[in-house]
Amino acid sequence: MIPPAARPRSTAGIVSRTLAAVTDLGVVLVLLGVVLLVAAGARFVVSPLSFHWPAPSWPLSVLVAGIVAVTYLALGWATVGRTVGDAVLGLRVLSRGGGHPGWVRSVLRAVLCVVFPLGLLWVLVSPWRRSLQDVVLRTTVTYDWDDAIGSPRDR
Amino acid sequence: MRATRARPALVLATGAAVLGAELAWRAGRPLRTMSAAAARIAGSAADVLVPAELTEELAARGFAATAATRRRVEALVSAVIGRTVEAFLAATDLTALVVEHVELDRVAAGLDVDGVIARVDLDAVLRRVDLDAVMRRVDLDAVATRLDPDRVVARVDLDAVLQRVDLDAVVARLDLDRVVAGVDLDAVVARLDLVGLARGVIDAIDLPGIVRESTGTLTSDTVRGVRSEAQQADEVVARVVDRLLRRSSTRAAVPP
Repeated sequence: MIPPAARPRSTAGIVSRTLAAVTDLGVVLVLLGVVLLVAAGARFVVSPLSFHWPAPSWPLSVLVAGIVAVTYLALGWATVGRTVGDAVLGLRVLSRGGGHPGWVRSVLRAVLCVVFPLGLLWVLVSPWRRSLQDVVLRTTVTYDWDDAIGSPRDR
Repeated sequence: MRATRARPALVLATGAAVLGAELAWRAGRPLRTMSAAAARIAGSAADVLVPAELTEELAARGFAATAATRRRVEALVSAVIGRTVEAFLAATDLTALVVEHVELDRVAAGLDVDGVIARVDLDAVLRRVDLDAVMRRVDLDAVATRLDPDRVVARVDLDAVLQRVDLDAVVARLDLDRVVAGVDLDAVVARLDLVGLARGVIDAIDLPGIVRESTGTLTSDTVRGVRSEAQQADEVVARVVDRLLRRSSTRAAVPP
């Protein structure tokens, strides 16, 4: 049975979008761990005798984390319209006209989400359940799943 | 037969001597009677006529002479008997005599063998036996070749034996570490077709199918539950906010 709110073109609420964001945060942390391992491996290959575990400074860490997060979110939205968190919660990012958001809009949206994640709270007061990023970039997030879990649309 | 056989002269002489002795003994009977009576009379007369001192003297002499005579006769008889027995034994094969004339079976039947054995101190006997020397002289190989193990085993009541064995105690005394240390596990593993075994097990249980089915079911159920719960929470939160902001809740649809 398809819940009423799950029908296409229904905008997603604050709970679903927050859970998707938290899931994406976990994915980004995993990606950062991979980046750290790759950096350590590269350092070991280059100079194995003087190898020590990388200890990046806070600014560098924040910069790298921001780049990884923006890249991850932009890639997901620009290619398939959803990140891993969106896919788990059955969400999809669309342009205001219901089409694909495109690369530029996806990158800008990713930057805004990383720089000011609290903009998501605007969903609570927005009449159309839009975050500040959605208002600025004219995008929307909809429920995009039905009872047929595992269908091509969900993959 | 009596008329045709000649008698030895010695036998005839012996017969004549015995006959003469018998006749003399019979003829002397009145004389002996008279002499005994005379002796009794003489004794009585001596008691009356002879003084007491003389009687004592005579009695003492008589007793002494009688004792000396008895000792000489006894020594003579003893010497004669000894010589006679020696001569008899030298001239006689006693073993042959016994074998020929003694019924050994009857003698043996009368023996109390159990009583004899009961009186034997076997411990003392065994202490005197050099068992090592005995064992050295035993050809165990020959004994073993003559043994029929099947018959021996067939006569053994293994159930009774096992009931008497305290297997727990036996196992408790086992040093399993030493036993395992003596096992060549590498050789055992080398003889096992582990790859074939694992492949057979995997083929039998269709592991990929089970993993695929369980994972798919878990994923779909979990994801469906999360999505449904999240959407219901979205609606609840939206209604609360709408109520706080005193507005209608007709804003879920995407505007055209």
